[in-house]
Amino acid sequence: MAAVADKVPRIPPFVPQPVTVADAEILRFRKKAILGLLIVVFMLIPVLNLLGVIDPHVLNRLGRYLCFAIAALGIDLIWGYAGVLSLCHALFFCIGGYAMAMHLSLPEGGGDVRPEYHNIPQFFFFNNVDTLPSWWRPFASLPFAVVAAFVLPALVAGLVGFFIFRNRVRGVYFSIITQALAWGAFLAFSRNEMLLGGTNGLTNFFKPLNSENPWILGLYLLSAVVLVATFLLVHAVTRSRLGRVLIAIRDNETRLYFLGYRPDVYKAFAFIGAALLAALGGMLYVPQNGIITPNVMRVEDSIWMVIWVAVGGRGRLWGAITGALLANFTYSALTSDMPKAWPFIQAGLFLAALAFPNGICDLWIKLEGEIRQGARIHRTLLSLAFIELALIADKLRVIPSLGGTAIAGVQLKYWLMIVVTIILCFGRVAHASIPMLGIGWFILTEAFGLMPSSFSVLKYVLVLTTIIVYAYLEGNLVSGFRSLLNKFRRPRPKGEAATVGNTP
Amino acid sequence: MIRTVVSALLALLTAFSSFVAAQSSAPISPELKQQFEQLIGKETESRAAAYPVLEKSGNGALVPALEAFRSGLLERRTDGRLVIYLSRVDVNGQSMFPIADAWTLEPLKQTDGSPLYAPGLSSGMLKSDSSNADSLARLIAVLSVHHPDPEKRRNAIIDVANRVDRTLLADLQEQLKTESAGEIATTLRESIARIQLASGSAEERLAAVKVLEELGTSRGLGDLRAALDTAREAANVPLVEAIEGALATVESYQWKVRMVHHTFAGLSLGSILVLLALGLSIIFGLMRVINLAHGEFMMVGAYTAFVVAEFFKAYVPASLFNYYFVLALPLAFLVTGLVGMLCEFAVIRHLYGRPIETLLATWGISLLLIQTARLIFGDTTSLTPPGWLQGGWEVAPDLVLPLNRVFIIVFCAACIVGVYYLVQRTRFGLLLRATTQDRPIAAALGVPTRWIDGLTFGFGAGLAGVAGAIVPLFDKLNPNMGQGYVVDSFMVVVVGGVGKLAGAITAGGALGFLTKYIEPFLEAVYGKLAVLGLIILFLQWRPSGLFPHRGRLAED
Amino acid sequence: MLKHLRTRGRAVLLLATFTLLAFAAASCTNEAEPVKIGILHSLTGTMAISETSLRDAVLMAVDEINAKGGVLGRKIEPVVVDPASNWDLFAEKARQLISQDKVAVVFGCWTSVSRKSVLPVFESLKGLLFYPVQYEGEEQSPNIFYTGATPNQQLIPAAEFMMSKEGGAKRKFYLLGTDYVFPRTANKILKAYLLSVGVPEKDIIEEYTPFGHADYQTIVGKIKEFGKAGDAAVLSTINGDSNVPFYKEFANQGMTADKVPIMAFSVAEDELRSMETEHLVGHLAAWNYYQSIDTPENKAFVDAFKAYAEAKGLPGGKNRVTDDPIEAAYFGVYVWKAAVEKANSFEVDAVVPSVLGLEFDAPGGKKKMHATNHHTFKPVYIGKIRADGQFDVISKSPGLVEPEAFSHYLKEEPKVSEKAEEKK
Repeated sequence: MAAVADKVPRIPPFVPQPVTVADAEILRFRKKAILGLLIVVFMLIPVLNLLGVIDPHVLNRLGRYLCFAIAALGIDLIWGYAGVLSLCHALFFCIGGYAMAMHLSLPEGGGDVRPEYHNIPQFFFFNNVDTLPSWWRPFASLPFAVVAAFVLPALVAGLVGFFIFRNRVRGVYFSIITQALAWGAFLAFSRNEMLLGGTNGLTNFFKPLNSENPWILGLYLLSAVVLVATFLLVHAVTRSRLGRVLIAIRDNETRLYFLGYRPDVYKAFAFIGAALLAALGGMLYVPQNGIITPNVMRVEDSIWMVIWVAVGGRGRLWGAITGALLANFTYSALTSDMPKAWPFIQAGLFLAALAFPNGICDLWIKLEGEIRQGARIHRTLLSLAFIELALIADKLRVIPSLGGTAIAGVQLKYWLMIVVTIILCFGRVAHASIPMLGIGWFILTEAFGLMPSSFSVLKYVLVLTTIIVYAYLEGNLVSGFRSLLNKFRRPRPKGEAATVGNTP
Repeated sequence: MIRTVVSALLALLTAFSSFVAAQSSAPISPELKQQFEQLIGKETESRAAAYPVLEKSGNGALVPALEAFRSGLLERRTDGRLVIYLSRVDVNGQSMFPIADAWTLEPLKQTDGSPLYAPGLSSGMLKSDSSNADSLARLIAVLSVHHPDPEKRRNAIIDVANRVDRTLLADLQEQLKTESAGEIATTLRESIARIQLASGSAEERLAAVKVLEELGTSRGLGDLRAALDTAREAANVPLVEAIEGALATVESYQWKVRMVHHTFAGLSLGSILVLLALGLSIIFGLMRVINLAHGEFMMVGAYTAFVVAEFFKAYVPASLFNYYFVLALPLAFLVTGLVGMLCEFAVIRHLYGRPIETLLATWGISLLLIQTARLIFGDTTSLTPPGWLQGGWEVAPDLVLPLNRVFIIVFCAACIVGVYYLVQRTRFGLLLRATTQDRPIAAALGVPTRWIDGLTFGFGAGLAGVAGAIVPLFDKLNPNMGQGYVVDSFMVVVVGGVGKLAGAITAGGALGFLTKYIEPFLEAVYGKLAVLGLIILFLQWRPSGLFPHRGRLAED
Repeated sequence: MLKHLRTRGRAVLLLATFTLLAFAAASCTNEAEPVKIGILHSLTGTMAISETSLRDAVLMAVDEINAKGGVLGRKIEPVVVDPASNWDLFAEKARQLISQDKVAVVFGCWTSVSRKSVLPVFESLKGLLFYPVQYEGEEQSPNIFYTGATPNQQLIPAAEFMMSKEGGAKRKFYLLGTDYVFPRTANKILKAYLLSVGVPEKDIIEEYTPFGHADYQTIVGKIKEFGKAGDAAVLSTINGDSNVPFYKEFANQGMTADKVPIMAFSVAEDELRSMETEHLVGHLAAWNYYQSIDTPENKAFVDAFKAYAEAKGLPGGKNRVTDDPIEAAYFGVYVWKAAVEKANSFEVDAVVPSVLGLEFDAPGGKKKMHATNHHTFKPVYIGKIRADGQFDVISKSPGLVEPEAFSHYLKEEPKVSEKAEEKK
């Protein structure tokens, strides 16, 4: 790439975080945080579900988003680590999903088939097919379906990867070709001649899978366990020698090549690995979703998956997970709350996310830095816990309405909750914990389904507030405004810009 | 190149002359008018009596009134005058029927001289009932053979042969005597031969086979095949041999026609792709920006043309409507170019050197543009093409090139020449090429690279906008329209080699041809997959496209 | 070093102010608690083109009802969500509407796939959905009311008409459709019906094109050959913008409605709004409602819809038209209202039984809900496309046609084809 001499990037480029050795205090803090997260995921949420606070549908949604998070790990592996942007990730997700769906829609997999349609999935009937095609038959066995769900995407990824990487086709070329592949596959899967249900896809699975609480809870826990397992696996891979080579590909492929490595083999490996993770996510997603259609493999969906990782922070595995959850909760919330304007807001958020190349994760790094400097976050966590518990209690109708007189349209009990929250916030607050309070509150409230949509404005105002407060405290607000003004002035050359490897 | 331009001009002239011819018509005698009144009247008997009289008259000028009567667009005004409603047009945002006199077809005027419109069908509409539908259809078919509009007349003549209507054979032969040359004469000969082949005597059949062999049309082909079967059954050896010989000739001619058709279709698809790919390629070559919003820039151009067309409908005399494209094309370029520069200024400028982030950012921009278009225009809009772009140009029998496609090819060719000139011969082009080749050195030599970037982005977007203005001529117009094209034009860039004009042009043409040649054999969907497979294989052979950069720059 | 951490005072002050503002903005406690209904139509993405009009129709009905005092003295509060043409999101939104927003009823969906993906949700969460679009049948959920037509209310009468004398006594049929479930099923039913009335198998051709298909040259050529003798008709389930190139090509090759009429099942006034109608005039369509139905009630409805679109500044303004799905979406709200008033309750369990068998006035005339199968009794109209994008009704069923959720032609299919074999 030609050096960009006169172009001082206003927004810092993506700088891969060096692997630092964290000091003991930070390690302790991280341990606590991970423990807390595990408790929330594996104990608090199931218990609240059994108590009836968390609706099964909320749990079902959370379970599906965890599957997205598994797929997001794949994107992070190939994009965040190996630096190769694949735009057909949703295709692999769907191949895994379709393999599982084929099993689930057959009577052996509990599919809802009827004798008047010859006891095979209903769509065959409309395609004038009376007996199960031979290539469908093996999918009656679950182990075969699972194996197929892994082998098929690996094959596709292997073939495409082999042909494309072998030629040192790089960067955007690869993205464009994978994009075309996703487009072509979408068109093909939409045809009824494929005997995969056409545009309607596969449905009529075993009904309780996504309607009865024990099944929903079970699938949720399974997804969570698989997510943790894959996280550990990918984490180990990225920390191994192999992972180092992948990072080297991202940072300077040519140099690696001259050192005697074969980047194409490693890239193909990362591509297959990413495809497998996507397929795994797809397999778990389908039973919880109850239907799989070619619509999920459109090009837009693949780009959307990349955005999850961009929002969360590429090159960090938990960034991918956070991004997948946050982006999906936001998408879901916005399409309900602002049906007309959401594409604007979504696109805006997304451009804003690009302004922070390291994603939401940067906040965490910042927080760790502040903790190292002696800041506390107990009070923030306390106030967060207080709001959530108060809302849960309110949902359980434990809190009386306190006379019911409303001040400025808001009931007295909510006023009290606000006051307590604010009091709890007092103390030596780490700045980075303020927006995290807002974002965490947003995710938890969405995930638990605590806010009725008449409170919808509140959600956004609160999150925005925390971000503005943070920006103000950091002094970013003023300097940001100033730099905006600077854009309209004649730029002054500021010397050589930092170029970072050959990030494609 | 010059030949294409000339032939396009010829095509335009032909279209125009047929347009003029449609205006002239034979006078209608008062007796005929009276018969017509009876036909649309209430009395069953006199109605039935009117049909043979009108049929005998053979006056094609009656057809518009009859057709209007059949589709319920004939109205008796309060002053007793008969008028017909023409196809709807948009007037001040409302769709209205222009009204014309049933006999002279002259548009009705208001007292101030402006044309008269009707907002909807009135209670004075005369409607045909189904009891006479057959006679009416028959009458229209017979009279259409003398229709004042040559296009409709030809269709009617072909129809006579489709129905194997021997009663009109003499009429057709009579007409052939006066029409010695031209399309009508050819059509007449063809239809006469087809009727004779199907129902004539043995000699007539043999003669008909010769005529059809000479003409080589697809209609004749179908008839010949059918005739072959019957001749075989009747064991008519000389006829079978004659037909077999004729079939071979006609089939080879038809094969050539099909190949020309595919080539032409490929050329027109290719030229749109080239126009899009040129912009993409220049932008990518200069700034390493993958512009996923390129399809949406195209959509902006299309809506600009739409707005111009609506503006013409509302505020400009209708006679000038046919020329709105003259204004729409440059405006599409300007508006889209400005939108492009705005995007570059607001977003992309800050992401230089980070190709993958720009890819995501431009995707965000495309979402914004789609939703904006949807909020402003909604989803159900369509662009009315100017009159001179409708219809086709018959080069040889059965070889009809649609005028809109001819226009697209000629226009794109002109654009490509323009871009080549701009890049290779102007100062802006020089600076652009300098910046593309070596940005720091260009900057050091005083090239305002920032401005070049902004202008280039606007220029590339503008090209997409121009493409967008002409795409609705043959495709849909809605906020999502760009998405189908952008994937294909990316493939063009990849195959052609990034940042190379020659590459984009060659690859665009090649991809267009390939798609159109594959489509008849495979269905469109599988055709797309096949093309994709071919491209991946092609990249095995030429990883950096057809025209790779030479030297060190080829690294990235 | 820790200086910047001590600015908490200002931080908390800001936080507090914004929170207060937020709660004030979100104030929702009203004197008379309104009842919520959900509207689940895509407003973005590929389906927005069709579904936005249905949202407008439902909102108009809600406005009208609210202006007259609401339902059981409570105002209706519509909760509009956007499933964004994303089938998975349809199910998610449906769940959220029912269990989070606690809506009393949902009006929504257009495509079969979206309905199929919300169906398990409505069944397991005991919600109530009014589905306003004609569809392929073979479904009957206790939690869904179908206010659109079933195949026997659209397809069979249309085929019957084509075979009758006034329809031209056609004996050969070309079944042409876009490749998805409605055309596939519709053609299966049509084929079974045609075989059962003695049309030989060789006189029925079935063909499908992908979504967005635009090149109909070959197919129209085939139709031309097929319909040479003038006894053939096309039964078209072509969807969306593919219709424009199809009709254009049809006219280009010199075919007209007198020779081979096209009977369309997916072309209504709203689609014709953006088409050049020139090539379509004279062709046919089968629906259960047309904007041109000449009754004072319908006139009032059409005018109200146009006025509503103009007043709300919706795209299209006063040029908007009504059509079958729009009418079905609109009267769905009134059916629900009548049922609620009859049951004197908003509970789904109470409302469902009172919908069954309900008679009501719709813009297109009196209609009735079926006593058991959750579909709607509807009149069937055959319409001829007019130059202004409207339809002339040329044939009308004698009364309301009973809906048939599961087509009996599909159940008897094997037997019927045997019979046809024997006849040969």
